[in-house]
Amino acid sequence: MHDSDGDPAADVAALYRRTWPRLIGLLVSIGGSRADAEEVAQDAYVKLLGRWDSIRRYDDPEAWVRAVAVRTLVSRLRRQQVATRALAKLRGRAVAVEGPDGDALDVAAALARITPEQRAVVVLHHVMDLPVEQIAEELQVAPGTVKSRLARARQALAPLLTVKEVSEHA
Amino acid sequence: MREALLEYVDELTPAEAPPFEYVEHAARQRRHRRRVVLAAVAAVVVVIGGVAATVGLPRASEEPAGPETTTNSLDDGPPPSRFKVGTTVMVLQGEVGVMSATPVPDHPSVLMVSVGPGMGVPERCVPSTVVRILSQDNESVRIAAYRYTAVADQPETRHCRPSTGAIAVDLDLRTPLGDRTVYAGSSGQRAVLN
Repeated sequence: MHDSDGDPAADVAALYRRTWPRLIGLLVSIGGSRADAEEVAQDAYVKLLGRWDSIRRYDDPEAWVRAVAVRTLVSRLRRQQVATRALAKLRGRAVAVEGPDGDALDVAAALARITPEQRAVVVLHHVMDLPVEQIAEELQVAPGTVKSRLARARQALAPLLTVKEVSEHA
Repeated sequence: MREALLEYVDELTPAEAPPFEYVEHAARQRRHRRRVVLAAVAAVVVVIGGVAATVGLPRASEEPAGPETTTNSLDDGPPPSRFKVGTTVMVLQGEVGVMSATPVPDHPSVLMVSVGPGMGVPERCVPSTVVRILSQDNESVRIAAYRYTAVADQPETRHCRPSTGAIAVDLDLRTPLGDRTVYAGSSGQRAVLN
């Protein structure tokens, strides 16, 4: 718990400089564009600045920012997916899932095959090392939901990423 | 899988954060937007409240006189064909006879004009009798009384007790009556006060 009564802007600025890069990496890997990720992250830090008096007392203010940003991004991605599907139905064409370009195309392509909700759970669990209970708290869903999303995501990703790892070591 | 994901997220992680001033600027913009929205909402509420409060009020410019006995002001010239009291529209029925006109003590420019019996209209609630100054000069004053009726049974008249007696209306000439002759009626030479 943090009890310091320093300058709120200075405290948030310090937290921002320390946590922003990793948050952007997290958000982009969940499926947002870099622009989306920066916008969502900025919104989260703006909210943090406005509520710092109460949030600074939390054990882990970084977790609060991350939770806000991830939830915002996931709901934004879900809306985009719904809109894309609706548009595809109207046009009578199948939806093509696009992965980002770059060197990490295999991982990106694999992540693009699962839903934003599953991507969030996988990244928070495997990259941020968060336990299921904390992920459930941050995403405001039941632990059972987190477990089932994690299981489905592993099932979908395992063949793709295992093949990559085997081929790299071969 | 974990290593592949870690490596992938590392590649997507920028080296450092942009200046914190961007966040502070965005926070200021958000506060400004919120104030603008609140001000706009408050302005709309005030306008709606003002309109709502105004709509139900009687308009002074459309009210030639108060109930029963009143001092008519700015009542020169021919009578209006209709006027409103609150939401009640009063329509001119025609001229009625003036019974008498007497000076009001201590008010040299005011006449108390007595008009013939009411026609069952609710005089106590809405002014259905109007006295007008048709003309005046150094020698004489010509006045006439007119009767109005409500277009239909309306809120202002619904609970009114009909008036059937003579009606007295105070008429302000705005200049002292002096020894001028008062003629009643829009035509003729019937003097009600010499």
